[in-house]
Amino acid sequence: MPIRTVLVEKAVRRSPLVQRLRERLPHARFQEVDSVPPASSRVRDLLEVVHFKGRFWRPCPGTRVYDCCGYQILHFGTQCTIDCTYCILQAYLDQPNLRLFGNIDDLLREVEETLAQNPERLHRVGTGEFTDSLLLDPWTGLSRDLVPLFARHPNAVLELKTKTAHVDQLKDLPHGGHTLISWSLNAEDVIRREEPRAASLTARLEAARKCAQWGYYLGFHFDPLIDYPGWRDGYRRTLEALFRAVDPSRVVWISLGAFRFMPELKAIIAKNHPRTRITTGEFIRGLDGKLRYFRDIRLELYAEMVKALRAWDPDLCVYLCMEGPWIWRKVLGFEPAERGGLPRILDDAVRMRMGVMGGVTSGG
Amino acid sequence: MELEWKTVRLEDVDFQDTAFAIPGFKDDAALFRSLNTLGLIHPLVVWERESGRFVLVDGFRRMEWLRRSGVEETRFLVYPPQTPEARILKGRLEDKIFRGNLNLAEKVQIAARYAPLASGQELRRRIFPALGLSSKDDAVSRWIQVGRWPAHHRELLAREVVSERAAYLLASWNDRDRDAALALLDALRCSASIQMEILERIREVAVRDGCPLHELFRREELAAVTDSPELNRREKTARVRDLVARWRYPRLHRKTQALRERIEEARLPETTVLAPPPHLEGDRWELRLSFRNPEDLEAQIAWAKDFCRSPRMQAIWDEFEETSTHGVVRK
Repeated sequence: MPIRTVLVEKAVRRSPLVQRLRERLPHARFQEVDSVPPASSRVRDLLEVVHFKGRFWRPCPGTRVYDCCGYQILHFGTQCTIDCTYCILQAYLDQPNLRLFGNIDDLLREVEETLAQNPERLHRVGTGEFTDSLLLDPWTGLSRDLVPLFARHPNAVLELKTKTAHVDQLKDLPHGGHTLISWSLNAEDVIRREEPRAASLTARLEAARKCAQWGYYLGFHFDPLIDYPGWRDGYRRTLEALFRAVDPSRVVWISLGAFRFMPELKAIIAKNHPRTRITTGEFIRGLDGKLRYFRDIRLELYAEMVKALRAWDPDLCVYLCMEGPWIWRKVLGFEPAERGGLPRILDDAVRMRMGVMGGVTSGG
Repeated sequence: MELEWKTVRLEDVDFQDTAFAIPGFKDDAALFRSLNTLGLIHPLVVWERESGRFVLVDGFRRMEWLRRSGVEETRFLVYPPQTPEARILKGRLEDKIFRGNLNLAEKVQIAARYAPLASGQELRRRIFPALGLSSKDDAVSRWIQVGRWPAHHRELLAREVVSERAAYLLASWNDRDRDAALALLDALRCSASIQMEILERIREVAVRDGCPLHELFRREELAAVTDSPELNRREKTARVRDLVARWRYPRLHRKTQALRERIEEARLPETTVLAPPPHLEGDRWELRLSFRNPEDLEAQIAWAKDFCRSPRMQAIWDEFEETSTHGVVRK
């Protein structure tokens, strides 16, 4: 990670996070400022560490129309330098640089308080919504704080989502079976064209294999699924590689989500990635206003994936991300509401695979 | 450097020098009729580049009228020889900007001519707003590019064959691609929003298929529509939109078309409209019945009950449900 400059707000200069960064990035130039100035364009080798005054713990922004997973987001930073062509973070133009929240003690306190307030409820929490969970982890050591914290709470699981192979720092952490490490996977053609800075498929699966060996549970997210000439072969090969790499009993869930995006992102993608063809699919405006492949394409993508995944492990929790019940029924043969809703389905997967018990199902 | 009044012989004005020309591609006939009736009201402006030789600064169309009228000499406002050319151009551009009533061709030419004379900040903050052109992000450079289009392309802007939005989109296209796109728009003369729809879809097809834009615009299918002597412009536009939609959304278009055919084959009563979900998204179909009185409504509801169990409805439904998927995968 070629971070050459770390801009630190004075309010967090003594935080453990900044101390770790100083130790682990000995060649970087640390500059203290009262407040990080707004930036209009990305500086690739810059990391900003700010004092965050908002809520660290927040619900995933779902929609009324399409079924949401009821995930809880632990917000520890923003932006990502993996630069996938389709990434929604490109639309965050007011804050283009990698940014971490330095007041990590506040974050940990908020986690403790939130979990204590709802002890009977099962919490599925993830950090990979506004940045990649493990992109900077070897330098921030954030997993050393979070993984043991979640191990101490019987009613919570932590999901660290990544497209990197940055897992070595996780090796000896006391996870207590409460953390799952998950990877966004794709066909290798898509990885090459749309995720060129991410770890290769082989590296991601090797990292997953290591994590499983260290007792972590795993998750995989085929999101975004891309419709391109040859997608069937491409995704089949990725699935075969996945099946060779890990034991399905370690996998808590696999999500499938066909590519969808806010209309405003189209022009941004065209500007930032003029060579990509990713926005030239057969998109329609969905009921939530986002552009998404028209139903037949989504159905074909999902059906092919589900068929292979069911053959691998018929009991595996496979779910659709942000899809309507009419698609669920055609692909999986049921609608989430028939099984208590998607959050309930995922809670059940946590209970059954991870053995983590929370009394009441998490909210949607 | 005051302007002076001078009587100048027209043969001493260099007509070939168009350094200060900003053609508006307007119809000369109306102006000439006015001049024939009232004569010159505002004086023409020239620059005495060297002693006794003049370059026309303002009044290109009026000069043409003077020549056609056989006038040999007239009174001009004259910039003296020592006046810097850049200053004259700037004055000319400012005069055009604030005299108003500019068409898009004139605006973009002024933008392009002003670009070397002003800072980026002045262009963004003063000139572009005065011209009514967007100065956000890369808009300044785009409009300047448009201002440098060849004359026959700029003329299409003046004639409003090309909308402002379409011109903005076409700014970055190469001459060959833009030439092909403008030829299509000239054949259709459609609204701004339809121009954008057609251009954006064709551009996306080109990106998707890795195909040069001008090749798409010159496809036989398209030419057959635009060159057709039987079709009027509105019909051509409808056909082109349909064709481009088919290129851009082949599977969706095929499916929508097939569904429309099944619904037509069902021969619904004229008082009934059956509509699948918009863009086939979601599971909300619509059946609209219009009726004259309660008895009529009752009869139509009875018809609807029969229809929903009929093979015709089943055929429509099968068409909607049909995909090339391998069917539902059940746990």
